[in-house]
Amino acid sequence: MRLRLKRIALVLVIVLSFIVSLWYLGLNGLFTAIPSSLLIIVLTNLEWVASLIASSYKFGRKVNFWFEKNAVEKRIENTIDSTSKKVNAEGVNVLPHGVDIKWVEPMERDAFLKEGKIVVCLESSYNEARNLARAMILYVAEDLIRESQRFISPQVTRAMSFAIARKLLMLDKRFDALKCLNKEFVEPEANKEPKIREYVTAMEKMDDQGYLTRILLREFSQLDARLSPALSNSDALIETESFTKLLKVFVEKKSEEDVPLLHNGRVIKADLLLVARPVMEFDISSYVKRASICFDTGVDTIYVLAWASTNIMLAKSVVKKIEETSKYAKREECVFVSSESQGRFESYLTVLMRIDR
Amino acid sequence: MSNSEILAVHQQKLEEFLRKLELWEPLTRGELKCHACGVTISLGNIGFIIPSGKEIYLCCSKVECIFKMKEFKSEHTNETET
Repeated sequence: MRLRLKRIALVLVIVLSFIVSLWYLGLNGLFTAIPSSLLIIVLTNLEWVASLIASSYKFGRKVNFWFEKNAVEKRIENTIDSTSKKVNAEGVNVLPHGVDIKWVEPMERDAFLKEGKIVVCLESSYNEARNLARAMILYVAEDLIRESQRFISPQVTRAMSFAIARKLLMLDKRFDALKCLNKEFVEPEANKEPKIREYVTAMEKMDDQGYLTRILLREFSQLDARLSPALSNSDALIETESFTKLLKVFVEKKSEEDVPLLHNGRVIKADLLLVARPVMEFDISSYVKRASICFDTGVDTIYVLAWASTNIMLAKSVVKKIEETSKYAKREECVFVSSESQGRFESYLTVLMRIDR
Repeated sequence: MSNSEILAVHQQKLEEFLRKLELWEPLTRGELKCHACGVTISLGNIGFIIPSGKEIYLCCSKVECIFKMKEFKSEHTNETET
């Protein structure tokens, strides 16, 4: 919707600039209207222009190796930078860094050992999809909630790397690279460990409903702050799996089906407060009471969730009432569009954090 | 947003790069194995070149090796730091 409005506004501005230029300068106005319109298009579509520049290097790749290297480098950098920003815009900075490809020149063995840095082998720009799939999985495996990764179960880490790499490629509509990622990386791993396939499928469902970055990765991203300076934590390894399973059951549940919503472990202490009852059955005091029990049992975070406008309105009143108890404070609040089997819905999520006295 | 650096070698420069590292001959003789999974490394499956102490390891491009390589790298970094 926002994109459509932006496009309409852009067309209006361009048409207006043409009319004003022609009105003031007559036919000569075309010479000012065309460059100014181009400038407006460039300034309002910087990502698209950067992508166009990245693709333009391909034209010279047969003439000079410099173009070939840039065609590989700029495509990877551009795709990773633009898509990771979109994922971070969902609220949690899960991919905090962009990427810079630096080409290394052939060097003597001793110099390479002294440098001490790992070098990745990239293919020609004719194999762009393969390069992109490889660079993407390497980047995500490295950068995704980097500081907390050591506390997350290895199977969950792999599954979330696959799910996020797939999401990034889909955001950029790189279906060729996605196919390559699935064939060369995801499928062999999922065939070997069925649990990974199960997690990836569940995480994609979480993502459709808007909870992958906003709940699962948000919760995991806090592990470093909670557990540092420890190098690892056995409870965290177990609980990152159990919390993933809890969210898996939650996103796969049928409507009206009751499933566990509380994860009160040693490390992950979170509750999902779903406001989804019919208005006639709505009783605000039961939600406040549950928040109070959460507080008494040491729950750190309450995620208040709702779909559709009536429930969202009720959820906002629940949040307000819970805040009035001075036990939890609102940290984040967002409304977004989520996809379900029945269609697309307006969804609401508020993160309430425990107030320590 | 700060960027993390990925050092890369292009396929077209790979032979020259490996020759300088004295790894080209062993590679063509099929003597180099993936440090993570043990598969024979060739030009078709080479993924990473990893310097560690006085040794240079090669790693294939399979995903499990990417993750093992990451663990190896962080262990290596910890050892270097201590």
